[in-house]
Amino acid sequence: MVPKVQVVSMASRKAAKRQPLISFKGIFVLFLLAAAALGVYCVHLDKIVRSQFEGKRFALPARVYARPLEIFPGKTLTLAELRRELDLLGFAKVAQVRGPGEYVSTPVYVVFQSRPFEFWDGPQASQRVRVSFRGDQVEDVREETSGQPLDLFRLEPISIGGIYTNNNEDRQLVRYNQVPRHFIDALIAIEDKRFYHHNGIDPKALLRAAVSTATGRGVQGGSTITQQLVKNFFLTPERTLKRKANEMLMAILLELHYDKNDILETYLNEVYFGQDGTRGIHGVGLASQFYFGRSVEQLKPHHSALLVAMLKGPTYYNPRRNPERALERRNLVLAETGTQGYLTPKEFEAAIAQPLDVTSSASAGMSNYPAFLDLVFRQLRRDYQEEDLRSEGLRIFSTLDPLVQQTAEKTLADQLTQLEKGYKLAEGWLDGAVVVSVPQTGEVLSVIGSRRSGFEGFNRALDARRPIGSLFKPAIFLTALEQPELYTLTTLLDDSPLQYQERGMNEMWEPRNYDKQFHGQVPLWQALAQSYNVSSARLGLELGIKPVLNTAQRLGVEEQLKPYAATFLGSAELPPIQVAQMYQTIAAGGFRVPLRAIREVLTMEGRPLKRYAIDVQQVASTQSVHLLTRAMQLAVEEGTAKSMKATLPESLHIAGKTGTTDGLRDSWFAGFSGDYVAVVWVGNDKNEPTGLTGATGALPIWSKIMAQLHPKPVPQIEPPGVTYLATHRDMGARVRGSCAEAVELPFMQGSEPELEVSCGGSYTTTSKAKKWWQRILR
Amino acid sequence: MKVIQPLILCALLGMTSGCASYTPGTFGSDSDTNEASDVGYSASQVSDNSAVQTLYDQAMNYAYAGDYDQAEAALERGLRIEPNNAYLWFELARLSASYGNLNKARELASRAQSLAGGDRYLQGHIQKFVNGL
Repeated sequence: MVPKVQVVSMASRKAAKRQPLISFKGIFVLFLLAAAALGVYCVHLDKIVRSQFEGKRFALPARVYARPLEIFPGKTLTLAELRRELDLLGFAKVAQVRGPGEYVSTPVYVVFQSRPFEFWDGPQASQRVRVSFRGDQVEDVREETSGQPLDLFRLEPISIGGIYTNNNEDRQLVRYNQVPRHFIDALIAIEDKRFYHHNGIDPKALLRAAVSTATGRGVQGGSTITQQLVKNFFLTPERTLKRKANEMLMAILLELHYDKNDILETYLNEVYFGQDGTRGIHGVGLASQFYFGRSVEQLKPHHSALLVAMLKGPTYYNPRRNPERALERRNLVLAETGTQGYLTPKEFEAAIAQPLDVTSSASAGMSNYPAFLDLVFRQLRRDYQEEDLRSEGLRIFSTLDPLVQQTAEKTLADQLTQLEKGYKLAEGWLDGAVVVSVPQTGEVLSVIGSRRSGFEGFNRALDARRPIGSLFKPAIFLTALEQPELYTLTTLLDDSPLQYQERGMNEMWEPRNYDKQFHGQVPLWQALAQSYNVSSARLGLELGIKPVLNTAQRLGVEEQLKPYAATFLGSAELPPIQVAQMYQTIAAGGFRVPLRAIREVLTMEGRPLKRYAIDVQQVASTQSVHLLTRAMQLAVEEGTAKSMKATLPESLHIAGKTGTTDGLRDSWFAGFSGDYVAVVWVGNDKNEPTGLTGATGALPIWSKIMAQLHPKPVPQIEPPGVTYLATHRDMGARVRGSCAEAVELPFMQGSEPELEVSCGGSYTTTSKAKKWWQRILR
Repeated sequence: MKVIQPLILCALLGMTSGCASYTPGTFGSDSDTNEASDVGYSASQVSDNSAVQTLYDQAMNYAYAGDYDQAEAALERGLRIEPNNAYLWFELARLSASYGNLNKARELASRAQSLAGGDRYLQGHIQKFVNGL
């Protein structure tokens, strides 16, 4: 019999043989191709991972500091102000000073221990200092342990913010070894138990998360710290499977390149802890400051636990908004941390007994000064590339005085509300801007761009171009006073009706005074003090538009002003900062000192990069500016600014100028004391009328701010070549004898009025014959 | 603030050098001008305020050592305390001349003059200095 097996043909046998070949080889080839594709893809991902990681690591925004508070015996500073500064610095108020960053306060003295700080001119070690006060002055400063008196002590400056990265993220970079062990322990315990053991992904955690999600027990994260860090590399928060897969691959790649502590460090500087207005709080350094007013090294276990607790949902667990929730989760974190063996029972008991211990947002240590930082940024951009500012970690020492800034912010906001109530304006109708600087050095102490000062937005101080009205007048009057052979403070000006045909204009220009009156012959000083439009305009026309514009330019107005008569009465539109520059030059006696917001720049490591030195240029004679200043002081003594006397004592000899524009749309006041120059603008953003004049709107705000700054009087130095004479207030002549009509005025040598009158105003015999013909010719 | 060391140094310098002042670099070959710049002020002449005195001494030490940047920074710190102190402005002017910025020196000297008021002693020195620029 033939075996059945022989029926199997060669073809089918071959076919049978081929099938296994296709399956193994084919799958093997497919597998190779897939692996190759994955490999290429991994190389691509690797590139992304590396550049992102290094980008995150080294994208350090420039850090800006306020001016350091200098303390010395005799300085005008109250105990409350020193405490405010220490609070802003994040110093902890304690019962006994034991280490840096702590202070003790009694009603008459403060003892604090400074933190070590790297200034531009060198490092300063930590010191324990006692400052005693008497009234509003520092009485004594001494080293606490030795009792050694100190002539001068410089406190570290407050960090006021950074030049943020493009997505408005701020950083206070910490190094791995700066972060307390208990923070890292809590973080590992809650977020990634096996962080030190896995290679980027944790399969156990993933599995647990998958099971929990699948069984409906809630969505649990299974992401490692590495994965969470990688998540930050992507700008869009997709939650697809594809994205998840990418993240896992990238996490593995990251761990291949970088060691655990580097990854942890970057994570610590990236992780999100909530919002502060438009500013995102990223990183444990910033979070420590923001929530506890402490540097990261000063955190205690209960602080660490709270921060770690917030990671799950910084808004949901916000300790200021939802304190019970936050406390509950914090305690949960502490319990878990203890269970995993990172805390001893004693440590656990101590920590869980603590309250939340967050600072109130008012003393959050890092207030937002966006308007001032804006100025810093603009000034820096002249010298540095924007890229460097956002990534080199530069340390910028600015001129901001936080005490002045806070005072001005609060006063502006309060007063605008009051004005709205008093003048029956809608809430929010008004807004304002303030600039405060130091006359002699040009250092800008405060910039306020809006009544809601903590928020970024339109910076009116730098960018709101509004007609300056009568604030322009000093430019006219200075031009005149620089020609003493023609004009003195007593020169009679004509305030009778004026009509002027501007070339190219159809209508006649007919300026009017604010009081709708004409005042006849008025002495020059009165025309300025009372801000008479008509006589000022006539004076301007006499002098010529070009010389007057030249004076404005010398004073520091950078804007190109239109060469029309209307400019005399302030049709020129300038932002408050340029007005401040103009009045700065007057306050500095004719020496233009460019306003600056920066003192020094250091590299991240503390190496000095650039110092912005004081720079002066004499642009007007001391004598002519002295005369102008006197007239501006008279504006306060008896002119349009006389209501200031209700708030500030006459002994300060404040000099200033009110400014009001057509239809009462802009209310200005610009002026100075011996140690401050300030400009205030009030108006409506849509240019609607406010019903306020310079005297009723900006002036009270200006005075109230100034009253809180302990201002010094304007020094009464008579420059060489200037003599003071008693003159008759209305007659433009000397006056014999003391009387109510007498006003002491300065004159440049050779320009003193020769005419003399009695108090009653009648000419005395000595002068009658001589100069009658001069009187007629005027 | 380590004020002791500069003070001791200054005291020693003061004892050994009398009225000598730093004159690194020359900005005029006229011996008269060197005389003007040879005038050194004691810290107590410059100010009654001990903080300003300390900063002035620090500045002078830096200047003697040729570190003009630090010297300027110290004088500017003094000016933040006493912005109208003509001696500090004058010293800034002299520093500027020392490192060759004569325009700046002239302007700073003018500022010093505007603040010196009736102090004829100081006014005289500033004028001599300006003449020598």
